[in-house]
Amino acid sequence: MDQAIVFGKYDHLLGITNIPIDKDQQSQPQSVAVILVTAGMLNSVGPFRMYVDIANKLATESIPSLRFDLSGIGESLGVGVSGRSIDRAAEEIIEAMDYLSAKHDIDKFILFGLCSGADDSFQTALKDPRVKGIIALDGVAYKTRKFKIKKLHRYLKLLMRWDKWLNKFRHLTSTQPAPASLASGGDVREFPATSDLATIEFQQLVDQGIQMHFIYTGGTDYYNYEQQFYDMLPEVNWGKTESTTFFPHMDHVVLLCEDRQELVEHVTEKSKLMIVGCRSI
Amino acid sequence: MSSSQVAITDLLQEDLIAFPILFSRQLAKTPDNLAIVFGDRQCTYAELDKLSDQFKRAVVTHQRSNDITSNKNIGICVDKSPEAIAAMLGVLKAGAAFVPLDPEYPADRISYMIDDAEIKTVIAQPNHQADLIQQLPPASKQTINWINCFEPETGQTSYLDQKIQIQPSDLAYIMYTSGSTGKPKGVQIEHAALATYCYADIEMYKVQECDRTLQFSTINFDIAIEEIFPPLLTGSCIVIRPPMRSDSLNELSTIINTFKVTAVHIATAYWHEWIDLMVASNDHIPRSLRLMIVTGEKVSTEHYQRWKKRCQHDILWCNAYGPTEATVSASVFIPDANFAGDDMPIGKPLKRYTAAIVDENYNDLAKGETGQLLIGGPALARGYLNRPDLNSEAFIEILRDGKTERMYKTGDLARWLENDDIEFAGRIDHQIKLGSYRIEPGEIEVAINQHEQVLESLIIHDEVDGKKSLIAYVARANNDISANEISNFLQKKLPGYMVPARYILLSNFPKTTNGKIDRKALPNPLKSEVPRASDHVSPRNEIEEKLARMWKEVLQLPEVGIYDDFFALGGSSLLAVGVVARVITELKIELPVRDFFANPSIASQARHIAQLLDVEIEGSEVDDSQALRDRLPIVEPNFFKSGTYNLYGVHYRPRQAPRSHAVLMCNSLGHESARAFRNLQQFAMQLSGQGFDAFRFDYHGCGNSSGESSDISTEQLQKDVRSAAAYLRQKSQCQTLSIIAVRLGAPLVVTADVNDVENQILWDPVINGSNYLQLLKTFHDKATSGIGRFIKSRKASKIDQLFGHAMSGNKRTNFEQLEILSTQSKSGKNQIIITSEDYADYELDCKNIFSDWEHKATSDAIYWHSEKYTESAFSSPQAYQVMLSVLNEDIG
Repeated sequence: MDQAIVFGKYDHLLGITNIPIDKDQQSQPQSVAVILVTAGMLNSVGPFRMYVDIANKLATESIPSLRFDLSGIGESLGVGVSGRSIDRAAEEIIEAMDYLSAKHDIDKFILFGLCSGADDSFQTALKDPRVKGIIALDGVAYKTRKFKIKKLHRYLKLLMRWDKWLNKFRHLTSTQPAPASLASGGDVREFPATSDLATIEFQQLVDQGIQMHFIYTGGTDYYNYEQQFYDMLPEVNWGKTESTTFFPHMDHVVLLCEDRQELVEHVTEKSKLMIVGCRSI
Repeated sequence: MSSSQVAITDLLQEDLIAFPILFSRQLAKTPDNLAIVFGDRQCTYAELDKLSDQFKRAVVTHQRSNDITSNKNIGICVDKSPEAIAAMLGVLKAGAAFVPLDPEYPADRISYMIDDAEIKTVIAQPNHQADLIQQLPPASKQTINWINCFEPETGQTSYLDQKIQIQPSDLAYIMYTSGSTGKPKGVQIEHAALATYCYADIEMYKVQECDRTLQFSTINFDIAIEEIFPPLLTGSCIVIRPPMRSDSLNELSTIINTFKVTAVHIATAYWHEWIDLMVASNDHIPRSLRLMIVTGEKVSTEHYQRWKKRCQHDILWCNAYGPTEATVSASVFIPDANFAGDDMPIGKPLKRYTAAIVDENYNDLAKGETGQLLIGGPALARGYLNRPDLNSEAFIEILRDGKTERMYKTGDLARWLENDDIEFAGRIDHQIKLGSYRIEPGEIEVAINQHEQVLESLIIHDEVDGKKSLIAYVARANNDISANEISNFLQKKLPGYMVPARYILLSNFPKTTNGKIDRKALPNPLKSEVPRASDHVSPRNEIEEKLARMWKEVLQLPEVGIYDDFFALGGSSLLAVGVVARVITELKIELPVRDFFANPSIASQARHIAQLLDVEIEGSEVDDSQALRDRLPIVEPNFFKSGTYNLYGVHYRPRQAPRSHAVLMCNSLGHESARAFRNLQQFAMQLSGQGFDAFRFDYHGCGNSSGESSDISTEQLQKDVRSAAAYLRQKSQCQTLSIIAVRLGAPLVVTADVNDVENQILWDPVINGSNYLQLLKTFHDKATSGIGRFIKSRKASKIDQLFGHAMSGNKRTNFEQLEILSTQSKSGKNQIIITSEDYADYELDCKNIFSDWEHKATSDAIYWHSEKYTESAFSSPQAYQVMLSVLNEDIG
C-alpha cells in the first residue's frame, strides 16, 4: 500500500513507502526494505515509471520499499547539506533508512539505483553498515582494453553501412545547438575518479560482506561486454557476494515495456536472494 | 567655431529626402543581398521590401478607413525582429511616422505616449497587444486599431498603388526620452534629418556592402536607428540579436563570432563590461569585427587601453556623442594609434553637423574655455511634440558668422581642444546619464511624489567603482513607509532603469533661504539604504557576496537575501545554468547543476562552495538550512480517491499572505509529463511564494498514482481532473480556483466540466488526440529503428506500446476521440492559451479553435515535436511571467 511521506531533518524530503500488509499475520514482519534511489535529475517515479513498477512488484513479494527524491530533485525541496552531491545523497539515503527504522522497525536495507542513483547507493554502502545489498543499474565502470577493441570493431562495422553514414551526415548538417532553455546543464557522474580508488572501495564492501549485483545495459558508452566488470577491477579479491548481468539489448532508461518487465523481474529476484542472504550476514 | 567641411560633389549625390525613396534606390541595386539575419531566418532586400509593403498597406488601410489624414503617428510595440524593421519601413512608406513603444514600459508611460502622439494605430506582437489591452485605460484602448505584426492585414491594393508623396520635412519617427516635468517628451525626427544622419554615419564609419551590423539595442532607443537605417542604404546586412539569450558568459562575443558580425554600436557601460569580461576570460576581440562604436556615456580610457591589448587585428574604434535631438550621433572621436590621454574626447562634428561652445550670451568661446555645447545642422529634430515651451528653450536661433543658425542646446558642458576635437565636461543641469539612458530626475520625483505618504523627493546619482546608480532622497509624512515600499510603488510607474537603487528617508528636506532644497546640506549618499523586504538577510562573507552579485545579475533584481530561494525569486533551470556558469568561471570550481538544485539559497550555496574550496565559513549549517526551510512552502504530499484509483498529489501551501486562490496544475501524459515535471514544480514553488495554494497530481496509471498505463481511459482522466479540483478546494478552503493545463492536460480539462473556474490556462494545448498519438508513434519508431538508443534496431513486440508507455486498443480509441472543439462550452471565467515558440507550426487549427480565447504567444523554446528533446526538461520564463500576470489579476 503506497503511502506519501515527508521526512528529513528539515521536513524537506518527499517519498512513498510501500509496506505490504501481512494479512494472515503468520510470517514475521519483514525486516529488510529496498530503497529506490533516484537517477540523475529524474524524480522518484523513475524513467517511464520504472521505480513504481519495481516497488509494485516487490510488494507482491511482500518486500517493503521506499522511493524518494533527493533534495532539490523531483518533489523534495533543496534544503540539503553542503558538500559533494554524492555525499549529500548518501546522507539523505541514511535519513531515509532512519525513517524506516523508526517507523517500521526495519534495520537492513538493499539499495537499488540507476545511473547516479547507483553511484549514490555505492557511496552510502561505504558509510552505513545497515546497507546489506546494492543493485546498481549502469553504475560504476571503467573502460578496459577489450572494451576499446570491441568499440573499434563496432565502428568498423558501421563504416560499411552507407545508410548510417547518410544518417550521420544528415545529423551533422542539421544539428543546431540546443536552445538555452532546453540545456540540461549536464551532470557529473561521481563514481570513484580512478579505478585504483574504486578497487579500494570495492574491496571494503567485499570485506564487509555487502551483497552487490551490477546490471549494465547496452545504453552506456562505457560498458560493452559481459565480463568487463571483472576485467576493469582485476585487483579486487572478489568473494561470493558480487554478481553482474549485462543486458546489451536494453537502453539506459529501459524504454521498451518488454525490457522493463524483464528488468523488474530481475531486480525483484535479486532482491529476494539478497534478503535471504541478509539473514546470514 | 568649427564645422565639418563637406565636398560639394558628395552633397550632390546625397539627397536629403524621404527614406523610402533612398531605400528603393538601394533595393534596385542589391535586391538579392541579405538585408536581415535573425537566428535561422534570413531576409533579402527584396523580401524586406515585400514585407514592408504589407505593413504599408495595413497602415494605409487603417488610416483611410478611419479617416485619419493628419497626426499619422503609428505605434510599434514589437520586439527586435525582421517584423520590427519591416514595420518601421512600412510605416515610413505609408507616409506616416513610427513611435517605438517598449513593451517593458509600465502601462502609464505607454498610455501617455499613445495619448501624446495621438496614436490611433499600433503594430504589435500578439502577446504585447494582449498585455497592452489589459493594462491601458479604456479611453486609450478603445480608440486604437491593432495590426498584428506577424500578419499585417492586406488592405485594398488600390491604396498601395496610389503614390504617396513624402516630403523631406515630413515626420519619420518620434522617439520618447525622459522629461523633467514627470512626463516623457517626444523628439520628432524628420526624413531630411534621418537622411542627413545616415549619410554622415556611412561616411564616418565607412559602411560597406559587405558589412554585417549588429542590431543589439531595443527599438525605442536611438542606437537602434543607427544600427538599422544606414546599413539599409549600403546594401549591407543587419544581424539582429537572437531572441534567446546565449548561455555563454560572453554573449556579445558569441553573437559576433556566430554571425560574423563586422560592426557593433554599443552603449558605453555595456562596452566596459564586455572588456572586463574579455580580460577576465583572457579572450580576444572576435576576428570578424572591423568597426566598434561606443556611445552614450563617458568612455573610461583605462578600458580603452585594455581594449587595445585585446585587439589582435585592425578595428575602427569610435567614441560617438550625440543627443536624440540631433537624430543619433553628432560628433565622433577616433583615437590615433598613440592615444594615451586621461580623457576621451567626443571628437569632431559629423558631416553636415555643426557645433558651437558658447557662454551664457551665446558668444563663441576660445579653445580651452568651458561652455555649453550647441549642435546645429539639418539633422536637428523638428522639436518636442506638444511642448512649445521646451522647444523655445532648447532649440534656438543664433547669429553665427553673419548667418542665423538653428541650434540645439545640449545642456552639456564642453571645450574645444587645440586639434579641434571637443572634450565633454559634464552636465549643466541635473540630467543624469545612466547606462544608455538620459534620465530627467524630475520625472522620477513626480512619480515618487504621487505616493500619498511622500511629502517631497529629490533624485541624484552616485558613482561607485565606475558604476552609476540613482539615489532618491524622500521626505515622508509617515515613518512607517519604507524604501522597499517606495521602490515597489515606483516599479509600477517607471521603467526599471528609472527606479532608484538606493534611498535616504527624511522627515523633511533642508532648505535654502529662498526655499529651494539645500543640496549641500543633504546627508551623504553613503548613508542611503537599499530597498529590502522585512525578512531580508544580507551576505555575511565574501563567497555570499559574490554569489549575491551573480544572482542579482542573473535574476536582474536589485537585492537578494541569503535565505531567499532561487526559484521563489523567479529563477528557472535556465537561469540556474547562468549562475552555475558564473560560478565555474569566477570561482574556478566545478558545480554540478544537481548541487545547485540542492542548495538553492545563497547561504547554502556559499557553504557548499566553501567546502569545495576548502575554506572555513562561519555560522551554523543547521541554522542556515532551517532559515531557508522556514521560507519555503509547506509541502503536503498525499493520495486521494478518484473512483477506484488512488491519485498522488502534492499541495504547496503558502506560508505567508495566503490569498484564497488555488491553482490546479494538470500535466500532460507520458514522456511529456516527465519533461514538464521540474518546470511545474518550480512554478508551484513560485506561486506558493506569492500566496497561492498550488497543487500538482498524477492521473490514474501515471506517475505515482495507482493503475496501469494500458488501462488509462479518457472518462477516468476527466474524473481525475474533477477529483483533484474537488480535493484541492476542500483541502485549501480557497474561494477561487484556477487551472493550468499542459499539452494533453488541456483537452482533458476543457472537457472535464469543472465548475466555477476563474482562469482556465491552456499551455501549448493538444487539440486533437489523434495527432498526439501520431507524434508518439513517430518518436517510438525512430527510437526503435535507429541505433542511437539501442545497439541493434528493435523489432515490434507483442506488447502494445508507444514511446515508453503501455497502450491498449481502448486507450488508443479514447485518445483518438479526445479533441478540443471551437464550440466547446466555457468553464473558466477567463480562458487563456499560452503558446511556445513553434506551437502554431504544428497545431494549425489553433486560431479557429481558440478564436474566443485570449492568446498569449511566448518565445519560450520547448519543442514538443522534436525527437531531439523527448527527454529534455525545459525552462519557460515567459510562460511563467504570463501565467503570474493572469493569476495576479485577482488583486487587480
